[in-house]
Amino acid sequence: MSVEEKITFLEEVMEIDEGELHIDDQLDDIEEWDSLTKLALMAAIKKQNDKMITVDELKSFQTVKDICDYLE
Amino acid sequence: MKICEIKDKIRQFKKINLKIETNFYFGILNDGQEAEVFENEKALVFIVQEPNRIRAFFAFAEKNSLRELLLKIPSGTVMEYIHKEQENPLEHIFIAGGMEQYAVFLRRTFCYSENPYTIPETGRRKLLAEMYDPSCGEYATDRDVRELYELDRENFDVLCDGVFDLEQWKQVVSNQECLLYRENGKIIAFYVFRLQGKKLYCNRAMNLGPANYLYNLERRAFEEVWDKGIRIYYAWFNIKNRRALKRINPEAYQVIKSIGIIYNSIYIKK
Repeated sequence: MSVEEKITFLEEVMEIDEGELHIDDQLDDIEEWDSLTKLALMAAIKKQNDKMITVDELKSFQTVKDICDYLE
Repeated sequence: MKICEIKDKIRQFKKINLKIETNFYFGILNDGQEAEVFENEKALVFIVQEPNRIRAFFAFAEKNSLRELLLKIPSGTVMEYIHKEQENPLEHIFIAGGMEQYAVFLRRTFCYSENPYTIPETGRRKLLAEMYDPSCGEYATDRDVRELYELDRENFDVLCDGVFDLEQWKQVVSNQECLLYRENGKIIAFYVFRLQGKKLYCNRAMNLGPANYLYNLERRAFEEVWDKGIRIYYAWFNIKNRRALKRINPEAYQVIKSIGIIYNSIYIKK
């Protein structure tokens, strides 16, 4: 996936409007970055890559870029 | 002065003044516990040492008399007052007595006509039900006490969240009142609950992971007591904790017969 595709994917997971999310956004500043989003992200990654993301990995994400770097 | 002596004073105070306001409920403290007392003709304030804080209780018949006594209590003392109205009707006296608001908690009591977990979830919450695993988590055991104690202190505020000491955690564990979830050996979610008569009380909950971990623990505890005929559930929420307040399935409101709300305003002496 390109960076743009990853951001679009994250916008879908977070259920936020297209173009609202930016690569340098801090996750703590995004209201939609909550435990439900983490669950949706976990489920989406499992579906796409058959890979289980751990809580330690989730906790290490500080910015949108960190998640994009994680996604393949 | 011992609490049993203070109780006698309050009884006398009631006889003389007929109508008093208080935040002290008999039974909340042990009779043998020591307290420092501040008093005048129309008010009584006493402070006690709790594990994590100094706490003030009051009884008064006249507002200005309470204000005078509050001005005398030590800085950092915490005081709680439960009220039905959203705004605390005594706040102006507390503020004039040198207190400042520290936190406000809301207690929601739900009486259900049907199991709310049978109501289909919508939107992002659908995943919660789809991924529900009733075998998720485990009851905490003695080996978990220290880790729970430390997590509690790291994630909650000792001044207002009723953080447990080690003895309280041991009791919770021994009563089988804590479900937890581990990942890679570390506790990442716990749910502490208690049956109080016919009510299920959610005492505290923490989740460092995705939403389904806590959902699973909470639902497991809820459905275990639902099968025993428990239909009333309540919990306290910090009103600033918007995420906790919206954790309920919005569709489940259709199976709530009644909702009771009260507030607990917490103040700290400046």
